[in-house]
Amino acid sequence: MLIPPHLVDKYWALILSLAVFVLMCAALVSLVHGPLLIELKDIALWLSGGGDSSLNIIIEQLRLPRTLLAIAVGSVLAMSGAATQGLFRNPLADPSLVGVSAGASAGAALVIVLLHNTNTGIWGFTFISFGAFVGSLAVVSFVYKLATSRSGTRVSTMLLAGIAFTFLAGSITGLLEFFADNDRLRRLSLWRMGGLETANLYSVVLMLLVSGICFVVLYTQKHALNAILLGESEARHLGMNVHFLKRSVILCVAAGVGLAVALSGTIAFIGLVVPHAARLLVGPNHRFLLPLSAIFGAVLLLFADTLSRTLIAPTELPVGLVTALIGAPVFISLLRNRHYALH
Amino acid sequence: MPSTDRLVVNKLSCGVDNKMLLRGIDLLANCGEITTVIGPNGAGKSTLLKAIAGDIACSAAQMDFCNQDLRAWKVEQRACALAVLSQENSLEFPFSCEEVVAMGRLPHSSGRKKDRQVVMAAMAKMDITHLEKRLYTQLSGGEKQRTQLARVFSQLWTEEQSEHKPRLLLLDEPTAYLDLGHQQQLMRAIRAFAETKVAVLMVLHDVNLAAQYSDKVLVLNEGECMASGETAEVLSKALLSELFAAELSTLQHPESKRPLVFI
Repeated sequence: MLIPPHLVDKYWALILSLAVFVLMCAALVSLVHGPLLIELKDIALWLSGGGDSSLNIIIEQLRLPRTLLAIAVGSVLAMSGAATQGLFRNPLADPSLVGVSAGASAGAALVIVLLHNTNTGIWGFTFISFGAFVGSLAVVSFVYKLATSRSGTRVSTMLLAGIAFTFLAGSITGLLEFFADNDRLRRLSLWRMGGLETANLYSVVLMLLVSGICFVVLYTQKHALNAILLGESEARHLGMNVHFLKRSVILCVAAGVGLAVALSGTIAFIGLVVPHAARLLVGPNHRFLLPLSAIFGAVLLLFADTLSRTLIAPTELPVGLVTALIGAPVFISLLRNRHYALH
Repeated sequence: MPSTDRLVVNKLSCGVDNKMLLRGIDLLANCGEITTVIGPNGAGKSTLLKAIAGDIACSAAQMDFCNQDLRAWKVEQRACALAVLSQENSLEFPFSCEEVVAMGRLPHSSGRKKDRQVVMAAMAKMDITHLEKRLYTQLSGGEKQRTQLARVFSQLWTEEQSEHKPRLLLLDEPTAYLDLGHQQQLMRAIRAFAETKVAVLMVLHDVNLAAQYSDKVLVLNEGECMASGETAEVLSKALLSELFAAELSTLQHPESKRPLVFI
C-alpha cells in the first residue's frame, strides 16, 4: 500500500481533489485530440460562448458526448469491478464473472445476425444496443435466480452459475457466428471490440444518469462492503443487511455494466485493473476505494479512447483493444510490485 | 427474584441432510458469568454457537435473551447486543489492524471520537496497540486472532457502569493460535468483560483452561448434552474419561480448588 490508512483518512480531501484534477486534465486532452486539431483556446472560447461556429459544432456534437460517455462508462465499469470484488471477497473478480459481458454479446449477436436494418433505432439507440442490454440483464437475472434459494443467495453458486451461463451465452454467440455471412461477422467482431464513436446526447445522458445512480447506491453500501470482506456471517453479526447488499450490488452491476456494454461494446480490463490500482494506493476501504476507482476508471478510458483516435489517425482503433493493451502490462507490473507481493 | 438477564435455550435441535447435529440441547448462560462448552471433535460445539448466533437454521422451543426471543431481533438491534467470534477468519484484503478493530463499531452510532477511544482500549486489552498501523494480511496467526478478538470486544464495549446493558458474547475457540501469555491475558480480559453484565458463551478445546476460568460448563457429546452445571461439579474424572474415551486423571488445583486434568 502506497499511502498508509491513517494518512488516507487525514488527507482524503486532498487525494480526492488531486484525482478530480487528473480527471479534468484527461477530459481536456480527450477534447482537443482527434482528426481535427482543436486548441485549448478554442475550448476556452466555446466555454465563454464565443468562438468559431463550425468548431463549436464539432465540440458539442462529436467530442463532448464522446468524452462524457468515456467518463460515464469508465467509471461505471471500474466501480462495478470494485463492488464485485468486494461482494465475492476475491480481488480477481470482475463484473463479467456474473455473465454481463457474455449476455450482452449474445444479445448483440442475435440482433446483428438475425435482424435486418440493424443500424436504425429509436431515441439515438441502435437495436444492437437494445439487444445487448436485454441480453446482459437476462443472463444476470438467470445467474442470480439460480444462486438464490429460500435460505438466501449463495455467492459461490453465483460464481459457478456465472461461469456456466457465460459458456451458454458464448455458445449461442458462436452458433450465430457460424451461420452469419462475412459482413455480419465483421460487424459483430467490431462491436465486440468496443468503441465510443456512437455517443450522442441521449446515450450520454442516460449513461451518466445510470452511472451516478450506481455510484450513490454502492457508496451508501460502503460499510457493508467493508464488513462483508470479513465474511458473510461476520457482516451479519455487525448488523449489515447482507441480502440487501447482494441485491443492490448485482442490480447495479447488471444495469450499469449492461448499459455500458450495450453502448460501447465489451471494454476489457477496466473492471479488473482499476480497482486493483486504487486498492494499492488507498487500501481496501470502500469509502475511499469506490470514489477513486470511479475516477481512475474514467481517466483510463479517456486515455485509451484518445489513444485509439490518434495512434493511427484518421483510422480509429477499437477502444476495447487499447484498454486491454494498456491494462494487461499495467496488471503484470502490479503483480511484480513488491508491495503487492506482500499482500 | 432471579435475574432475567440471561440466555435461555430450550430443546434446540439442528440437522443437515437428515443428520442431526444437535438434539434437544437445554442451555442457560447468565450475564456476568462465563459458560463454556466442551466436548470431543464433532460433538456439535461450533454448531451450537452458530445456531444461537443465527448463522444456521435450527428449531428450538425457546431461545430467549433477557426474556426476548433472540430469533425475532432485527439485525441492527442484534448487532448492538450480540457479538460473535467464529473459527474461520478469512479476511484477505489488506486492511490495517486498526481498521479491522474499528469495524466492531459499525453497528453503533457513537461518533468518531468515542469509537476511536473504544478501539484504542480494545486494542490495548488484546496487546495489539503496537500493531495499529500494520496490515492485517501481514500479521501472524496469533496476531490475527487477537485483532479479531479486539474487534469483537469493541463491538460490545461500554465504559461507564450506567451503560452496562445485558449483552451476549459468543466465542468459538478464542485461544486458538495464542501463546500461553496471551491465553492468560485473554482469559482475564474475558473475565473482566463478563463482569460488565456480559453473558459469555464460549467453546474451548482445552479442558484445563475451561476448568480454570468458567463458572458453568456444558458438556456436549455427539450432539447431545451429557452434563451441565457448576464447573467443579461437572468436570469429574469419570465423566471426562468417558467423554473423550481416554484414561485421564484429575487433581485439584492447590489454590483455586478447581479440577486439573492430566492426559
